[in-house]
Amino acid sequence: MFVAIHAPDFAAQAVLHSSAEAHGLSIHSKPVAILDGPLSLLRVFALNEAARQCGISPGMTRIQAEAFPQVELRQRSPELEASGQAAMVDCALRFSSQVEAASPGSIVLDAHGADRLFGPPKFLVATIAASASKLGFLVNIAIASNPDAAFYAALGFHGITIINPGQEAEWIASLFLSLLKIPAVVLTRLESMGIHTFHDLAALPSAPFVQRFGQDGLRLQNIARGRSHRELVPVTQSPQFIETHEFEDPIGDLEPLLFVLNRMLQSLFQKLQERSLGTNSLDLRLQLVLRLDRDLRHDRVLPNTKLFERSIRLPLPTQDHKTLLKLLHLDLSEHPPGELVKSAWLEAHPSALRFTQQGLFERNAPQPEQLEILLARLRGIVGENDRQGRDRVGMPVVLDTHSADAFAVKKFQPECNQHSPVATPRFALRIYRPPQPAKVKTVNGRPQAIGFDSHPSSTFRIIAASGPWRTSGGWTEDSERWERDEWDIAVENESIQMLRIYRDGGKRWFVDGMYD
Amino acid sequence: MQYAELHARSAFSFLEGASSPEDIAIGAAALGLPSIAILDRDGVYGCPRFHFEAMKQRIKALIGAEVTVANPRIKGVSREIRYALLTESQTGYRNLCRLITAYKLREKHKGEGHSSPDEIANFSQGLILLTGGVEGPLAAALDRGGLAEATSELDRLIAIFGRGNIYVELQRHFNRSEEERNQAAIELARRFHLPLVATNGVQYAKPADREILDAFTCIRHKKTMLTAGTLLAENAERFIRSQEQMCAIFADLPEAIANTLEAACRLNFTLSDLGYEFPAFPIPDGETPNSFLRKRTEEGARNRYSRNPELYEKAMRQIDRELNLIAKLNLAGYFLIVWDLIRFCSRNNILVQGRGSAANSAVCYSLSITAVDPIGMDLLFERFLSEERGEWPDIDLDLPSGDQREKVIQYVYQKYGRAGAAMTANVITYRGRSAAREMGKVLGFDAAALNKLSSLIGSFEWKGPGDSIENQFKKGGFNLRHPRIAKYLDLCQRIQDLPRHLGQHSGGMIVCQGRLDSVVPLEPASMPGRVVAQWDKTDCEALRIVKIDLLGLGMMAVLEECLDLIPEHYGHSVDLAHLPQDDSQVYEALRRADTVGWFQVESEAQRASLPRNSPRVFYDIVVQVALIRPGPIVGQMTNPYLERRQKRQPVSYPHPSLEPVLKRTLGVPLFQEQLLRMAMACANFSGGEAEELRRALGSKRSQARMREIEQKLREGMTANDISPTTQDEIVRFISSFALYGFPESHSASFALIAYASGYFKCNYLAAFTAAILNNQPMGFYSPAVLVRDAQRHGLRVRPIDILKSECRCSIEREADNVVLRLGLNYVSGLRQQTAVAIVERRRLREYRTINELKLRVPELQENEFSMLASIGALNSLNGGTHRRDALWQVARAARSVGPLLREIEEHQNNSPLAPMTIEERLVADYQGVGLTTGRHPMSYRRKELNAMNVTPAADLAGKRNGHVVRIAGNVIVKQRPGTAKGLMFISLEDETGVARAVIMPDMFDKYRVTIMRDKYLLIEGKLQNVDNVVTVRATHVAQLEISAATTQSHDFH
Repeated sequence: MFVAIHAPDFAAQAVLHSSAEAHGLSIHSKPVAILDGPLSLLRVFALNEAARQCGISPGMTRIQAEAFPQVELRQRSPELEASGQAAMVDCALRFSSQVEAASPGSIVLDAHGADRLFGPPKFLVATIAASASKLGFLVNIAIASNPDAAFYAALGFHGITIINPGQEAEWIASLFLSLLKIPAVVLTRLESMGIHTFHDLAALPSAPFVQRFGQDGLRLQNIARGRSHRELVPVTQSPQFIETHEFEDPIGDLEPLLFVLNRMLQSLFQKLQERSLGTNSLDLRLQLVLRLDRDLRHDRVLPNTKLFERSIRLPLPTQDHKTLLKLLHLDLSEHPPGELVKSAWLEAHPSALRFTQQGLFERNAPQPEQLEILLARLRGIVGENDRQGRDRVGMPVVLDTHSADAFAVKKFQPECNQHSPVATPRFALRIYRPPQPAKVKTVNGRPQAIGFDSHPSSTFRIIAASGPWRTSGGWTEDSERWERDEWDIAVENESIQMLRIYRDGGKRWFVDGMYD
Repeated sequence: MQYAELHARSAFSFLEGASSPEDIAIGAAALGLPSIAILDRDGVYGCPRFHFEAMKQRIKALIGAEVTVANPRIKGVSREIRYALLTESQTGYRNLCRLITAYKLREKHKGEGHSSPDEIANFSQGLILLTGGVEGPLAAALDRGGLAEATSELDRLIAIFGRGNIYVELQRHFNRSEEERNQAAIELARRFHLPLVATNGVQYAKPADREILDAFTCIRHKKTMLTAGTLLAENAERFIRSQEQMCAIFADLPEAIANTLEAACRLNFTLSDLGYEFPAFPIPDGETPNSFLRKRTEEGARNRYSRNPELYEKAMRQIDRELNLIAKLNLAGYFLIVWDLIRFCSRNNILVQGRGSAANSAVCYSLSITAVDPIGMDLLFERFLSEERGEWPDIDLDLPSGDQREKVIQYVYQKYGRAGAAMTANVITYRGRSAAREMGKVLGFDAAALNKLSSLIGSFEWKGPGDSIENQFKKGGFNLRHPRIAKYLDLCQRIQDLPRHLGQHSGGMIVCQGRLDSVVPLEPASMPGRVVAQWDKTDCEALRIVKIDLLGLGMMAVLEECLDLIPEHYGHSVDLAHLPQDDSQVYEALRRADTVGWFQVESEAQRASLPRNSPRVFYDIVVQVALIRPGPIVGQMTNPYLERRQKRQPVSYPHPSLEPVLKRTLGVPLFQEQLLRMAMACANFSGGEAEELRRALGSKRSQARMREIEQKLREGMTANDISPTTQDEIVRFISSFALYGFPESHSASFALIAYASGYFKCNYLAAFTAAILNNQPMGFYSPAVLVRDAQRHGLRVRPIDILKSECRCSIEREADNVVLRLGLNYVSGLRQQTAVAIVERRRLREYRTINELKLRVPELQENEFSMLASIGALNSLNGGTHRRDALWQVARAARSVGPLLREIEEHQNNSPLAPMTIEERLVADYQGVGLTTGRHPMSYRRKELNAMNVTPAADLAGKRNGHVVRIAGNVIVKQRPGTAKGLMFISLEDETGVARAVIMPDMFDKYRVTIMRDKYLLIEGKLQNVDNVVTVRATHVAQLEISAATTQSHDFH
């Protein structure tokens, strides 16, 4: 006995399923159409019944579909479909260990012996339907003595279909061949011959048909006659490394939370170790309870929970749960949830461990785990970003621009044995940070004398000047526009000093640095 | 001290320069520079425009180019070197052109290409080398190996160019490494005793244009402004600098400034000394080109006019006048060259007809270049040629599109040599949509925003002052105050009309005596066997280079095929030049607007005006061709003409002096020639001046020139005592026509083809239909509509049959009738080679069974085989079968079996499949052929349609105006013209004919989805039946379930 579960308009249901999870809406009454295709030629690919009733139909162009403002248009999302499919497989696995993901939105499961657990077929399918509905899917379910009959009945018939053994052919006779999983060219050939339904196909004499369509034709004919026999191809769900914990009473302090997180991490890492895996990526999701008293003055009902998410990434996979606990600790200290925690969810993304052989004369670099902890500590002390949005902790890199002194900070990753290709400069320039404001006297545009704000009383004669070296850019927006005229000057102080000075767009002079 | 700029790039360095050549010349003149050189990358693309603008600005245009040379890899990076070459003499210019041609043509595909130092050595005479800036050979040598390498590089360059022809170039853009190079260059120049020269390596006219250069840099490197980094310009210093600025910057090296002028004085070549000679036509001894042309013309004139002595005399007078002018302008050779092409076409049975202003010339008519009699039609010669203009005449030849036209093009190459002939270029410039897309990418807009933006600009046409990009942006809801959007708009506007890349003109060819590659560099075209010159047709015209347009016209191919089919199937031949001019069937069909498939007069708009124009003589067709054009429509001439034609409006003239000019068109100006004659009649312009007036008004380039010539026109009119109000009216007539007007000669040439197409359709329907089906795509209607129209005119059309069909549509004789047989080319998905194999092997022996067909034509693929079966093409095999039966047999025959079993027939021949229903046959026909030869899908539902009170299309004309009717049919045309204020015109076809409906904007909004989506429509509305033009003004539109067949409609919206 085989049960097939099919979610019609799966691409639309997958989208609705995700919004059901996120918003808890009454989902199926909302008309939704899914668009697919190249961006310049999006067409309606799938839609739910509510959208169909509004007048929209598959194949319409985006512009045509937009004429129905009541219908929500969404772009097709393979990710949502994959997660919807995974949810359906999970659901089916509760009823049988032999589960086949027959096509997107369709599951076939081997239900032999399930009657002992769930009773007669009608109880079994009712239970399955209830589970799918809880997930947010409206499904057709069919039960038959072979997987194909069950599968196509679920595809073709609305609601629940129970086919008694021996009645398969009769039941599926009226189904259209377009339901068959066959190449489009074969379907076109069959239809051009006037063979449109399972009944038409079943009625053809077998020998001539096989002469024309080969063994595949025979297989199709057997399906159409409700006589196909095959083994299921069970899904092999890759193991997921997820731990959840629900607190009896929401907690507000970090310490008890870390205590629980430690336990969850231990459990997660035990599972990873059993499979000789490590992880370099950990996601934490906390469900927080909002303190409702703050929102009493609002009329509208606010959701009383919200999600708090953090992620930890390591450069290399590890099996050491203590490292990750320490990183979690540092991260949560820096970014406290701020509300009471109701439940915690931890997922480790598994990754194969990597082992490296160090050279005999190679200098020991810090262990990646220790380095990450150090960086996290530093971030805790100095903060994450500066005012320009740059990371505060990391290594500076020069930006690809003519704008002097422009740099970014990238994640710190020591690169051993790499030599800079830049030739050794003949002069070294000590750059002043920040640049020192100066007063420069010019004659015919050339600097003649310079005075420093730090020594307001003294002015120094410029004995040689080379320049201007002019750069400008950022013209796409006035606020980003910059320009700079640099001069290399020699100043006579007790000794001769060589400086780099510049004048910015606001005609202000600065000393940029001093040549050694 | 005087300074000349010796190194500037224009936007014709394609993405490496940001100002047009004209702007460079104007900029230099404004700063008082005496001369400026343009050195574009690997070409002289912009030189003609630069040359003429410089002449206007009274500065010296120095010509040269930057020639790319491959450079060995330096530090793992391969960098190109550019040799900045200036032309000192005509020899130098010729060498430069030949050098560029040599390496461009070496490339197999259209592309950049590069030269080698050895090649440069071969062509170095007459050229002066500047050592260049950062991309020059000296900078590359310094990079490679410092002073030592640069020394040997200079030695090599001196050996190539000679010591006196090299200038060590210094550029100062306030950059440290550039200055470091300069110091090395100065040292080398002193060591080698070479002169220093200062340039600014100009890439744009004004500092602000650096933004465009940066944007172009992003496009060139496929980057955005955010990711381009140091690829962008360091600063904005590569603009045209004044003498004072350059002197200040090079104050330490005054000789570098002084030398610029010295070098500029040496550069004596200008494009005025191009040295172009058009090919000498071989003439017998003792003849001159003029005498030879006169003899050929007089011979031709005798043939053309001998039957009408009065006309002959008039023609000879005109011919004499024309020949004298031709001799004076030294153009005899040009006419002989075109005459030679006509002779080639005639020898090779290639139909050819001159169009355009050439049809104004009696010489062209006598030489058989054109087919319109300018004397009989009293056409104005000055529109074609005038002494004042000093330009080459423009002769366009219409040829059958496809292979025949290619034969003529290849003949030109063969006659004048690969280096003696080339297609003219077509400079593709940044326009609304391309500018919007590219600038959007540069500013890093995402794909969705880009799509939105370009769709916004998509429908934009530069029509009037209100239609600016800015207004389009506003209408699209963009916030122009947002700095990024404002900058985007600004960039889009600034790059308008700057060159983007070089294309090939559709038919323009230039030829030269000797080597064309000495006149202009040639490049390979994307199409094999063709070369393209670097100049477009306007530049060639301006530089007096002979140009002949060889244009492909689908209808010429149709007429040519008709001329082959008619003798074969109708038993007599037809001469296109001697068609009966007063065929009543042709004029009746025109008056009924029964013109589907005709040349030029078949569109819905033409057909809607035909009954009102009611053509009775050939000249009415000439008017009809010109009537539905932007000129008369925008100038609001169409309706007054039609009203006067129907005698509802009195014929009047703005001024009595204009009566002779406008009499033929009932006082309404319709043709460009009339505009010229008006200026001649009312303002005493000469023919040449009048043509000058048309050109000035026709080009939007110079407002000042337009005002100047308008003033002259008004002065002439005032002298003739024409009142200011009448003057205003005349000026309005003239200006609305200058831009869009259609020349009468052109219209007459088209009318001849239109008449011929109508004559063939009315008298040789099978031949005409076969020919037009064989030359698709062309015209306004799909093959399905053409076939049904022919069927309604009584032609029997037979379906595709494997035993009878040729590759192309053909004619068969059945009893006393000729019938049309669809060709195998109409089978969707059937490859040409398979169709040829089927027909060739059938000629040896007829096929009897499907199995035999498969065995004898192994090229037949399974899908082709099934398609033939499903459209009924195999029904005559196996002793007669039905489509499903054939499909069943094909399914078996198509499966490969071993040789042992291959020829065994199936015992049980009967298929278990039911024959196709009518609907299934329709679906299969439309899917496999795109049309059905059977009944119209609507005819099967006529009873139901009658019950629904639907009026057949043919009965509409009999209904009263204002009657509420229902029409239904297959949508064959949907049109929403921009000028129609949102109205949509729909043509519905049923088995009786075509009904037209107009949808008002509110109705369109209401039924948008149905209208856009459904192939069969039911439309209810009030009938407008005026002047035999029948239209239904829709009040209700509904979907109609007739057939699932995938019919096609021709949509314009």
